[in-house]
Amino acid sequence: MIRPRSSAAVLVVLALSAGPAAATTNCVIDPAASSVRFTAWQLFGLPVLGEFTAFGGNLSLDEARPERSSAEIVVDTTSVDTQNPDTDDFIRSESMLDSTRYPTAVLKTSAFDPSSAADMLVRGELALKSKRRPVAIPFSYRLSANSGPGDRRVIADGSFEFSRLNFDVGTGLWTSTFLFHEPIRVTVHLEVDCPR
Amino acid sequence: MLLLSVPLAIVGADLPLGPLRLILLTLHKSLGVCLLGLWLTRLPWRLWQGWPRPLATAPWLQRAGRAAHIALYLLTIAAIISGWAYSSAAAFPVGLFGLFLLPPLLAPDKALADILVLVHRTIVYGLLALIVLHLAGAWYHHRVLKDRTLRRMLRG
Repeated sequence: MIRPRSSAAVLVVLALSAGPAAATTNCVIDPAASSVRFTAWQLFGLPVLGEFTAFGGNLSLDEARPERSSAEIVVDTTSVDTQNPDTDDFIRSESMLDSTRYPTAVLKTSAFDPSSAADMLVRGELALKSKRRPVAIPFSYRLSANSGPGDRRVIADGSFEFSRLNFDVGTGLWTSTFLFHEPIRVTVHLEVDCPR
Repeated sequence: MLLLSVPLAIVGADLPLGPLRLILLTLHKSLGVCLLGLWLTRLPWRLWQGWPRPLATAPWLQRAGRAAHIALYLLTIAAIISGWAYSSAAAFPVGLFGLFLLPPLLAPDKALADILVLVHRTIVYGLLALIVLHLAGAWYHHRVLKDRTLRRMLRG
């Protein structure tokens, strides 16, 4: 399923990973209510805050056995927004995300490990530039009453850090962690509509 | 400190976004934060101690000296604040060598940032011109009026 956040020409796709067919519900991210933000740190630890404005994805939700749920989220790397156009262009450039060659970053889950009724460790793989690396993201989540086109809404918040050097984010002189620190923090807020 | 900070910005601002530009402009901003601290320390001290008694006997020279001192203080703080405001509008963080961050003065605004960077540059060039004028005045005191003004300035 494809659901662009905006009508921009940039593609944002969220593909659905199928769980056990009889027990799962196919849910769709509400991009307008969701966010994918990041914080990177540069020289002297000065933060660079930004977000990706175009992304999408689906969740295959198994309410009875949440650990069987799965998701795939695709982020359009050209949609980076730090509120400074020059910085945005730089992040899209070859030495950083190389958005021309790699216009998307994909997070595909492989396991949901519930630690409580409201918390879950989501394991999966992050594909960024030419690299694919495993990630583990702690999420808190809850089901809310109907507030969108779906009958129910899953609201989930997660945050994780990854080594930018493992994904070749920052090449040449930018491999210096004095100039561009490790790691990069990503904070995700997802609101997902789930029809009954 | 000012004379170190300004060349960093002049060189750094014309560079493409890269490591050298990052280093120069980050140092420029950190030095600006140092200047802000010195200014905030120096001003109360100056107000408490009072201005040095002019050594010049001509009233117009006394008035010119006092005006130059006040203008130096005002242009210095205006340069610092305008730089801070520009960085805020451009969504660039401002801090002191990684020790702490200053909060943004404004919300990010590209159009406003384009104006503020011109304001910042104009104020800094005005400040540099005033410093040159101030030094010329000190030289005039030293070589023409042959009083102790320059020696007193050098003592701080």
